[in-house]
Amino acid sequence: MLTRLAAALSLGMLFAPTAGFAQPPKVKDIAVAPHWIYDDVPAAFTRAKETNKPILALFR
Amino acid sequence: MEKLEQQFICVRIIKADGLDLDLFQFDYDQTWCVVFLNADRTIYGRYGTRAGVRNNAASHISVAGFKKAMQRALEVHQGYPANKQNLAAHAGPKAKYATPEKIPHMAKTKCIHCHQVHDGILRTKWLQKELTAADLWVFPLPESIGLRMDPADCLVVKKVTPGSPAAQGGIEAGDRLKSVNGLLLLSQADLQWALHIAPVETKLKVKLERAGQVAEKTVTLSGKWKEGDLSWRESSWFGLRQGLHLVPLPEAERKKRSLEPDMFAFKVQNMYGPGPEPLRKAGLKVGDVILAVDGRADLATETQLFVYIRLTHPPGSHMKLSLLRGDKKMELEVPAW
Repeated sequence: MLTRLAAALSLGMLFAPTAGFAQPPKVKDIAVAPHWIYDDVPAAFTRAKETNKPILALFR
Repeated sequence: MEKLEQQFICVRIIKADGLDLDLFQFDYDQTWCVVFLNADRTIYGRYGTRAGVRNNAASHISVAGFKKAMQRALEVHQGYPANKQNLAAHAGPKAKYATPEKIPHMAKTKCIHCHQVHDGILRTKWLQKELTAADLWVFPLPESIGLRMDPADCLVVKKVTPGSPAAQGGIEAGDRLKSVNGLLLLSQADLQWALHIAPVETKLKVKLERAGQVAEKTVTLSGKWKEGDLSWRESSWFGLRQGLHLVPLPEAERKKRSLEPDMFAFKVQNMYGPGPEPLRKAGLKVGDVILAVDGRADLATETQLFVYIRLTHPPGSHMKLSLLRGDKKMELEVPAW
């Protein structure tokens, strides 16, 4: 998790939209651990209700 | 850390298309942000702060701080719903637009980035002549009231600016903040949320822990405390600059042109894309130096300059630029763009 978080933080800064300049042509996201839901908020709510766990919604 | 993470349902969102803007209200200009919430849509809190263009992420966020925010979120979850009233203010007001696609100026945008939510709102409001200062001065940093937080904890005060509202209210370095106006805090981002939703003229009730004792302090806020630097915000390119890239005239060029070191002087570094086309047509050129806008040369920063323009010049209006082109002084009337 620490490695993934550090990577996400550094990638976030690396690929932060550079003000007024051309965006990177394509940002390939880093691999996500199996227990992470990818880009599906309704699925997160469904699983949170089933498990009584809180949701951690990460935006980047 | 892995065990901590496993106690949540983790969802990663990389585009804002279809995002529920009633539910997910945060500082959209950030490149990295977390919202903690219950399955019944109750927001527990937020994590993530950004204050500059690049290379300063560690000054406000850290892995250790994030871990503490996660632990606090789990504690809030364990205490839920008994603590529900202390979480209510985490929910924002009803969003004017339900999803980013509903923002008129964003209707044709595909693969919407989070910052584009704020882009679209600012531009749409300006085009509709509804832009206000409250739309611009969002998510003030703790520094705006005189607090510097420890990124390794998120809620421990690292430094208090002497004479600031926080200092006058009795907050000290080492204090651990617990709530603002009753709203439970998980991280600095929640403190920013509390400042974001607070009126400009207000008294904040800050509950904190000092040497094992809980105390409550009152921080009185008034005036321009919300007015920080907007230049790092990606939305400033769309919502404020519209492609006009200004930089303070470098010192060497000031000397060369016999301008005082602290004098208002912004160089047109570039004009990107179609946004500034009305300026090009009016005669503005890359390399021009702006010495005043409407005779005002008291706007100290690029942020102040663009805020003045956007709040006082709606679509269809014009402004007078006092320019230096080479060694020649000139006046140029340009349309609001």
